[in-house]
Formats: sequence, C-alpha cells, structure tokens
Amino acid sequence: MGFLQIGGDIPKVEPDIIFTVFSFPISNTFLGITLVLLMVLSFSYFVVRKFSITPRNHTQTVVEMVYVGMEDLLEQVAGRRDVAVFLAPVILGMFVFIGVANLLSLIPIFNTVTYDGVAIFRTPTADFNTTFAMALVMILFIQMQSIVKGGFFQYLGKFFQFHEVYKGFKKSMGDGFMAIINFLIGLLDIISEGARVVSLSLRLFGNIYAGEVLVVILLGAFAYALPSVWISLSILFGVVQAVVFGALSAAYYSISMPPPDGEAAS
Amino acid sequence: MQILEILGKIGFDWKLALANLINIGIIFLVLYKFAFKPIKQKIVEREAAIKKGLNEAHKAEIARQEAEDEKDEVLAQAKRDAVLMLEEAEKQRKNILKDAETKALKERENILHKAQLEIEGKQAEMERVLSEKSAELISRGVSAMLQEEMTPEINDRIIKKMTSHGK
Amino acid sequence: MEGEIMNNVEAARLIAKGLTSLSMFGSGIGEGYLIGKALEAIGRNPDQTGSIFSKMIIGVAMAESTAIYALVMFFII
Repeated sequence: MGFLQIGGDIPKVEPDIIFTVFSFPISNTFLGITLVLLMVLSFSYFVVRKFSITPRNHTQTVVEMVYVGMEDLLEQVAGRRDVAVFLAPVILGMFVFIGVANLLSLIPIFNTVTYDGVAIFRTPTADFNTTFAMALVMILFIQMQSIVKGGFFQYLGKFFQFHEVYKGFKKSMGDGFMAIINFLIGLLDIISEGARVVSLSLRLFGNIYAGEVLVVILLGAFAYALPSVWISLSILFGVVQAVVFGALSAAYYSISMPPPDGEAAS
Repeated sequence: MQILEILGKIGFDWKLALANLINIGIIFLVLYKFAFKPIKQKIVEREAAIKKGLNEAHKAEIARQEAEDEKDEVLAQAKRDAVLMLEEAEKQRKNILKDAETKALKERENILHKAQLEIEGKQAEMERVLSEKSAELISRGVSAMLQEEMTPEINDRIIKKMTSHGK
Repeated sequence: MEGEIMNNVEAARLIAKGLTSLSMFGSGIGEGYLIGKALEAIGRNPDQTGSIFSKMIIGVAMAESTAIYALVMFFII
C-alpha cells in the first residue's frame, strides 16, 4: 500500500446481523431503514406540519415542486391524470425512500460506524433483501389493483386466453393459429411477472452495491481525486435509480390495468 | 429450492427481507399519513382558493363590464338627447328667425305703404296748392295783361277752367 | 490431484467472471445509441426536451440493467 492508496475491504454482499429478536435477525440494513424512518418522521413533524396554504418558506415550495413534478412524470408514463394522482403517493413513497437511502450511502461516515467489528448501518438499497421486498410488494400491489379494477376472471383471462383461441378458430384457421401463439405468449406473461420482480430489484441493488464496491476499489487505486468523480456521479445515479424504480412501477401498472371503458367497448 | 440458493449468494434471506419489508411499510405509512396527505391537501386547498379567487375576479370583471355597458348606454342616451335638443333648438331658432323675418317684412311693407300713402297725399296736396297758386298767378298775370279788375267770380271761373284743363 | 482439480475449478470461475463482464459491451453500445437518438430528437424538436429527456433517462436505466444483471452474475459465480 503506497501513500496514495487507501486500502479497504470490499463490502460483503450479505448484510451483517447485529442481534436477534425472537429468532428474527436484526441486520444493519434494518437499522439503516430505521434511520430513514426517523428522518421521515422528523421531516413530517418539523417541516410538513408548518406548511400553510400561503407558503412562507422555500422548503414548502421545493417539496410541492417535487410532488407535482412526480405527478406530471406519472401522467407522462401512465397517460392519464387520474391514474397519476392515484399512484402519486405510492410511487413517491418509493422515490423518497430509495432516494434518501441512496444519498445516505454517500455520507462518508455512514458505512464506517462500527460496533464490535460490525458496521451498524448499511445502505438499505445496497441490500438485496430490501430491494427484493420492495419490488415484490410493488408487483403484488399492481396485480391486486388489476384484480380489483377488472375483476378476477378478466385478470385470469389475461394469462389464459382460451376465449381468444375459441374466437380465432371460429373466424378462420389462420386466426386460430395466431390465437394459439398469443395463448402461449399469455402463458409466458406469468413468468414475465416474476421476471419483473427480479429485474426491478436487481437493477436497484446492482447499481447501488456496484457503486459502493467501485468507491472502495477507486480508493485502493488512487485515493485523492479519482473517487470524487465517481461519488459525484453516484449522486446523479442515486436519484435516477429512484426515478426509474418509480417510473417502471408506474409503467407496469398502466400495462397491467384493464383498458378503460371506451376502448373495451370498441 | 435452487432459486433461493442462487438468490442467497447475493445475500437473500427471507427473514431479513420480511423485517426490511415491515420497516419499509412503516415508512410508507408515515410518509403517506404525515407527509403526502397534508402536502396534497395543501396543494388542493390552494388550487381551490386560487380557482375561487379567479372566479371572483371573473365575476368582478363581468360586473365591471356590465357597469361599463350601462355607462356607455347612458352616455349614448345623453348624446342622443343632446342631439335631439340641439335639433329642436335649431328648429326653434329657425322658426323665430322666420317669424321675425316675416314680421319685419310685413312691418316694412306697412311702413312703405303708409309712407307711400302719405307721400301721395302730400303730393296731391302740393299739386293742388301748386295748381291753385299757379292759377292765381296766371290769373293775376292775365288780369294784369288784360288791365281789367278781376272779379272773384271771373277769377274762380278761370281757375276752374285752368285746373280742369291742366289736369 | 485434489488441489489441481480445485485450481482448475477456481480458474474456470475466474474465466466465467471475466466473460460475464463482456456484456458491458452491449450495454455501452445500447446506451450510446439511445442517448444519440434522444439528442437527435431534442435537436429536431427542442420544445419536447423535458419529456424526451425523462424518457431517455428511463430507457438508459433499462439498458443499463443488462450490465447490472451481468454484475450480479459476476458476484454469484
């Protein structure tokens, strides 16, 4: 190790377990999420409570800009204003949590506070458990909404397109075979729903975890100027990944919703 | 389960995932209840207030427009009245002028007539006086020429003859 | 003999790790193409900059996810 290099251990993939409660392990990720929770609580208590109809401070303007901006983005993705307004709290919750967690990892001392040789905090999004749970809940929420909005049989009919095959064969032979191909594609959609969970969660996890690994590697290579470039890029990526997670969730939502009444009738 | 094994290689453990999930759920609840709801409420309230204000401004604008229309109408009415009055006055003026003119003309005619009559009367008088005087003169001249004393009877006869002849 | 086999397995693992990182080629090409096209679209239609840019960011993140999958594979192997 020369003077210009700072050696460090590459962070482990799995989180460290600090203690257990009733055989449930409490990891350092859990503590990281708790930290975010505390930040959210104090933000709600100290900032949001003071908001008024006629803003007296810049904080409210910025917060409302973010809220309305997310609604506009969702309207672009989903294509409808009412869907955007309905989805905004859910997606914005994702966005805030992921964004705060990603930016937490950039605070230098966040990952280095240790207790008994184990880091107390770990970036929540750099843990596959967190991202997987989030993606799973998001997809389950979308499926549930699809069932509620369109009815259970329409939901099943999206995956098992028996009706379309029957209609296609009634029309002509060629249409029937096309309908069989569509039937197989519909079966594949079941797998693709699962793949969405994996792709959503792996994308976020990979980005943040790779960012942390790369910072350690860069510190080992040339410690005094090089990492700053990557860290400043990480600020951008942290926010972009948060936006992407939300936007993709909204896109999946609008894809899996039954078509609006006007289209269904035609 | 092969999938769990593969996922386990990148640190997946369902107990940890569940714990994280619960914690994230709490964060969501807090965010929704204490942050997004009030923010959205404030935004909606402000939008309503702005809409109300705009509506009121619109109403005020309409009222102003109406008042302006009324004002314009009154002004137009007044203008029309003024024009009418002016026309009336003009007519009256013309009438008065005409009356005065006709009166003046009549007066003039009267005066002229009277003057004519007077002049004629005077002329006749003068003519009469003149003829009398000239007849007297002539009769005096004639009597002088005739060297004979004129009697009033002869004189009168001669004068009468002269005047009737002179006429 | 036993150690030799283990060495061979370790070597194969490292080779596989190297091969997975090759996927970054495709990801890089895809991202470059995507951003180029988006910039072309912005140049042609500057009014839509905001809309195109946000969609571009989403597309870039999706294209990048290929490389991220490879990275995860890299850690799994």
